[in-house]
Amino acid sequence: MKKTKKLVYAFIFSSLIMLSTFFIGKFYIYKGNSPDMFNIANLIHYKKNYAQSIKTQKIIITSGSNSLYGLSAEAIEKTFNIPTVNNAVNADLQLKYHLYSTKVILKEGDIVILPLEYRVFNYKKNVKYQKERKYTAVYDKQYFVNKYGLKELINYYQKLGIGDFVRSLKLEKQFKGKQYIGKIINRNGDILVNRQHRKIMWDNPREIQNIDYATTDGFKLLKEFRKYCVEHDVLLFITFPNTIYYRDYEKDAYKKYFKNLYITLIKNNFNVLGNPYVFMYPRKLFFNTAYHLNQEGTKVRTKEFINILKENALFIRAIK
Amino acid sequence: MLFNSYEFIFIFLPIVFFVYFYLLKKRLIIGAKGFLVFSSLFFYSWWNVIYLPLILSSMLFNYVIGNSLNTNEEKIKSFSKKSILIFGIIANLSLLGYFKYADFFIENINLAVNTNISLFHLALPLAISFFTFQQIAYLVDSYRKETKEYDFLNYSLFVTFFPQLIAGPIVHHKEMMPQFASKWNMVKNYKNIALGLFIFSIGLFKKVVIADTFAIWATAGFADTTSLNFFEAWATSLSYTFQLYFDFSGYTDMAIGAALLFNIKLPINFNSPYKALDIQDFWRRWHITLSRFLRDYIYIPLGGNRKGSFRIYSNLMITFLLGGLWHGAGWTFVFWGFLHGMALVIHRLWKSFNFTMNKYLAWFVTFNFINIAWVFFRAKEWDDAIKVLKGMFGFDGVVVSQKFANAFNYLNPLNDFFILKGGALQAFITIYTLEFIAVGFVLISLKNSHQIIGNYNFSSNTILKLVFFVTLFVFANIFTINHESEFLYFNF
Repeated sequence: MKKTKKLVYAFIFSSLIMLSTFFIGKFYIYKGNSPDMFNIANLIHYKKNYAQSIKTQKIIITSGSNSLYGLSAEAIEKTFNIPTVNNAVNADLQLKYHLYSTKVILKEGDIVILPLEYRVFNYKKNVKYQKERKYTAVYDKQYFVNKYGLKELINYYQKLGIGDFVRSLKLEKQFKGKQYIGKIINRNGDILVNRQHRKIMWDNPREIQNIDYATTDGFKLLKEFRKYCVEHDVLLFITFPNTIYYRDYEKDAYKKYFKNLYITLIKNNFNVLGNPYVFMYPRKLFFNTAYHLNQEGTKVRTKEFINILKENALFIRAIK
Repeated sequence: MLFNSYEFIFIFLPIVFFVYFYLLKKRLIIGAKGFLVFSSLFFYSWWNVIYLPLILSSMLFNYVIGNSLNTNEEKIKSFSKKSILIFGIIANLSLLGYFKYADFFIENINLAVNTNISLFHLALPLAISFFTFQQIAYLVDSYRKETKEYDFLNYSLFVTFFPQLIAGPIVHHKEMMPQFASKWNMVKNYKNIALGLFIFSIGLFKKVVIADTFAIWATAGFADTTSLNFFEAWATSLSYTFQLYFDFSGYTDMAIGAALLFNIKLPINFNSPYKALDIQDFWRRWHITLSRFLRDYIYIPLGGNRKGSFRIYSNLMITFLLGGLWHGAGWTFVFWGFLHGMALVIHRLWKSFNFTMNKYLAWFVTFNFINIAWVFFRAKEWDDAIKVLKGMFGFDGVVVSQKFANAFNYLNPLNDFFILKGGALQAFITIYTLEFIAVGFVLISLKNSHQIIGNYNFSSNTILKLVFFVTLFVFANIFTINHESEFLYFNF
C-alpha cells in the first residue's frame, strides 16, 4: 500500500507540474495563432519604436486601417517639418485600445489627429471584441487585465490547446526576420503595399445608425481622452475617414446622419477638421475595401488634408 | 459540469473527495453520505438548476412507491401491489414521455391526420432516461421482493451518485447499496485511487483526443454536404462509428474511475464491442448495462426464450424497437432498433440451422452491419442517412485521382452504376482522416481499458506505467480540454 500511495502522489504531482509548465509556457511563449495577429503586433511594434525615438514635438495619427491606407505621414512630415507617426493599424482593436496606445507614445506638446471609422463612435464598453481581446491577451496583458480582469486572462490561456501553441511556434518562425520597414511600411508607419486597385470587399454604403452619439460609450471615451490631452498640453483633432463615395450618400437620410455626427462633435467642443463628404472618393482610388485607399488615392487624400491643416489656425499656432 | 473540464477535474472532484473522506474519518457517516448526495445534486444542477426539483420529486416518488411495494402486505390502502407497481411505472414513463416524446408524438399526429397542433419545444432534462430506467428497475425489484428496506439517504445516493448520474452505467441497487453500506469502503484505499486515476486518464484521453477528433469528420459528413462520394461516405460513417464508441466508452471509463476514488465499483459498460463476431456477441459487449436492463425488464417479462420461436423473435423485435426509441424520439432511432432486432432474429435462425462462418468473415460482416446501422442512428433526417449510404455504396461514384481513373476507365462501360471519376475529395476529408481511421481500427483491436487495468500489478514496471498514465492525462488536458464538446449520450 505504501508503494501505491507513493504512486498516487507521484501521478498527481507530476501531472500538476507538467500542466503548470505548459500553462506557464503558453502564458509567456504563445504569440497568437493567426498571421493577422503577428502582422498587427509587428506593425504596432515598429510604429511605437519610431514614435518613442522622437524627442521633439510630433504629430500622431491614430485610427483603424483607414489612415494606415489613406494618409501619408511621410508627406505631412515633409510639409510641416514635424515628425509624423502613422499610428493607425486595425479598427477591430477598437477605440479604447487606439486611445490607450496613443497615450503610451504621447508627450507634452504633441498633436493628435483621429480620423476615426464611423463604427467606433458606437463602441460599447461591455462588449467583448474578439480581435481586441485576442491581441491584448497576448501582447498587452496589462490592458487586458484592466478591462476584463485577471480571471478572464487565466481563462483565455486555459482554453488554448496544444494546436494553438504549435501554430504559434510555427508562425513565430515564419515571421522571424520578416522585413517590414521599406517593404510593408515606411519609417513613418504608412503602408506601402497598396499599389493598385483590387476588387473591393464590403462594397456598400454604410448602414445608418440612428444613435445619439453624445451618449455612446465611444463618445464618452473621446471626451475622457480630450480631457487627458488638455491636462498634458496635447492638441487633439478629430476628422473623418476616407471612404468610397456612393450616390446614396446624397439622400436626406445620409445627410442627416453625417450632419448629426458632425454637429455632435462641434457641440461638444472637439476640434474638427473637414467634414465626412470631403473625404469621400471615387472607387478607382481605393485598394481593397471601402476604407482603404491605394497609393494614388493616398496622395489625393493627403494633399487635401494638408491643405485643411494649413488653413487651421489652431494647428498652425501649435506647430513650433 | 462535464468530466472533461477543469472545474470538474481540479476543483469539484478533489473537494468532494477530501471532504467526503474527512467526514468519514470523523465517523460522520450520515454526514459523509449526505455530503455526497448534496455534491451529486450540485453536479446535476450545474447544467440547469431548474430541473433539480424534477429529479428530487422523481426520487421521492419512487422511494415512497418502492417502499410500499417492499412490504409483506398484499394490498396497501385497498390497492393491490401490482396496481401500485403499474402506477409507478406509468408515472415514470409519463414523465419521460412528456419531456422526450411529446413533440415526436404531436408531429406524427399532425402528419397522420393533417392537423397543426403546436409543439411544446421542451428541453430534455439531463439524465432523465437514465435515472428513470434505474428507478423503474428498482420498483420492479421491490415488487419482486428483491430489495431490502433502504433509508432515503441511501436511496438518494443510489440514484444521484454523480459519476453515473448523467449517462450511466445504469446501475442496479443490488450492486450499489451494499457498496455504500460497506465499512471497508469508508477508508481511503490507495489502490482504488491509483486505479481510479488511471482509468479516468484513459477515459479522458479517449474522449478529448480520439472521439473529438473523429467528431470533426463525422459532423462535417452528416451535416455539411449535399452528397458524398465513396471515400467521403465511408470516412464519415467510420468516423462516427469510432466517435460514438470512444466518446461513450471514454465517458464510462471516467465515471468508473471517478467512482473508484470513492471505493465504489461501477459495472463495466463496454467490452471491446467492435471485436464482436456476431450481433448477439455485440450486444453482450456494447452498453452492457442497457442490454441487461432490456433483457431483465422487457425481454424476459415478455416471455424471453420460453414461448417458442415465433415469440422469441417477436420479443426480440419489441425489445429492440423500444431500445431504439429509448435512444431518441425519431423514426431513424426506431429504424436502427428495428435493424438490430432483425439482425438478432437472423442470427438466431442462423444458429438454429447450425451454420458457421469463418471468424474473419464473421467479424467483417458484423462490423459492417453495425457501421451501416449507426448511419441511421446518427442521421437527424432520413435524407442525411440516404446521402451517406448512397455514397458508401458508390451511387455517387468513386472519386479517385485522375491518373487512377484514367488507368481504370475501361471498367466503366461494363458497369454504369459504379463510376470511377477523377477529382479531389471534399475539404473535410484529408489524408489525416484516413490515417486516423486506420489508427481507429488498430485501437479497437487492442486491449480495452479494463483489460489493461484489470489485473493491475503495481510491483512491476511501475515507473513505466506511471509515465504512461501521466502522459495520457496531461496530453488529454492540454490537447482539447475545455474546448466546446459534449458527450453524445447526454442527448439520450
